[in-house]
Amino acid sequence: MILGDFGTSYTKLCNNGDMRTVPTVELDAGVQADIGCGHNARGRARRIENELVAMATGAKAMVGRDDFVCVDVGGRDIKKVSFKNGQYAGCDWNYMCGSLTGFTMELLSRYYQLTYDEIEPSEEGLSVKCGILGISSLFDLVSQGEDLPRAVAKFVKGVAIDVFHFAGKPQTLFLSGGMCENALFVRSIPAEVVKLGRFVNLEGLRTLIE
Amino acid sequence: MGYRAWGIGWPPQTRNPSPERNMIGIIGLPSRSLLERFRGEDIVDLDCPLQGALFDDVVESRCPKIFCAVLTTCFTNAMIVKPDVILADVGPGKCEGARYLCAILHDLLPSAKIIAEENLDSVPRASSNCECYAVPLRERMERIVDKVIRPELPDFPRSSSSPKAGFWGVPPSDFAILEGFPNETIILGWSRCMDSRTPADLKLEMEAPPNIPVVFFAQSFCQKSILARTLAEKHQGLFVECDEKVDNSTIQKIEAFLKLRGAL
Repeated sequence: MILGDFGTSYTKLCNNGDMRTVPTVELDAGVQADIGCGHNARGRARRIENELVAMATGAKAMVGRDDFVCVDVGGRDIKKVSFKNGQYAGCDWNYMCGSLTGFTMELLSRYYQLTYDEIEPSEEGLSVKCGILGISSLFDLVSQGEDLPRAVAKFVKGVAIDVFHFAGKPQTLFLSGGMCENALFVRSIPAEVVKLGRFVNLEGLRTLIE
Repeated sequence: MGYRAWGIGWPPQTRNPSPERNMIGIIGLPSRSLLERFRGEDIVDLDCPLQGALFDDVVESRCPKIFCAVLTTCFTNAMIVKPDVILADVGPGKCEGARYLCAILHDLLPSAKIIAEENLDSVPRASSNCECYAVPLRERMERIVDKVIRPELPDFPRSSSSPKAGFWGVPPSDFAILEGFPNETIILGWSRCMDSRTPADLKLEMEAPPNIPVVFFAQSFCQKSILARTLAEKHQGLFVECDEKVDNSTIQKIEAFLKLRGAL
């Protein structure tokens, strides 16, 4: 049984319990999942499940609390699911505005050859309503003489604050997706962050087919 | 005769399919008495997008980029169709935006007679299309809209069963948003007021049944969005807004909400 979460930047696969992550552009053309979700699942999975449903199901299985908010920061969007008293309470999917933030953070680290683990979080954040506008503000900051890692830290702080507000400003935020591995981003979120990792949607798919 | 672009297939380049009759354009839901005065004329619903006619230079130069898609459609259609008469509901049954639009059209279309009145009709119709659960939501919403200009169309009979979900809001700019709902979806909000012919009935507009998942929809940049968002919070519903075309994330959000709340 192959489960697939076919994201914009990365594809997450589970083949009989063996989990792996592949950059989507490097994904073998012959990969076919039995059940899949994500922006690029069409044509890649025999059965397609709604991505928010997969995320909600996976988060519920992994978190083990009655009340929580889980946010997934992806390459091109941000998704949220919340539970209250063990019941599904709401979801949101920020797809147009606020998009490209995860993608832009990865782009920045490559462009400036920075390692996020080595940068201290900033107290101050840039306004990052979308990746394109945010990157313009960042370039302005750099051209005004701001130290490069500091400028990038302000950009990341801006994204982190947006994510925190999108989540409804919870005390504890359960984070899923590739951004769990970005230490600067995680440390910039003004809440206790519990990292669920990249495979929440796959856990959801597994729960759904069971 | 009544015309709604996608239902009737009336091409906008043929301004008046029946030259012997006047072309009447309507905005919002004019009062019963006003509509009755013009029965027998060719009536076109200016709120609905015309086939292939999505652009007008005058509208482009005067309409802000961030503006209600429905009013922009009314503006564009009026400039293209150039009706002989425009009947508009302005005020509590529609919005102040329609009133401003009529003032603008008065200047731009001097040969058109513009009748802008507040529709305060308060007697509801006996029949309803909101609670027929054998017919898809989109089809029922189209019927509600079509019946304004073609009152002879039959109503879909009310079902005796209970709804599984609710759709609250105005008839959307893009009806594709209605396709993911189960047939057993009750129509609520202003669309229900439109169906009952009491567009200014705020009490009816704010009603939402408890214990079923309701999607509270608002057109982007519409004043009703505060009502939609507040009611969504109050009823643990899902607030969605949409501009001209519904995007994939909104469709997915609605599907997830309905699935996770057990309506699909």
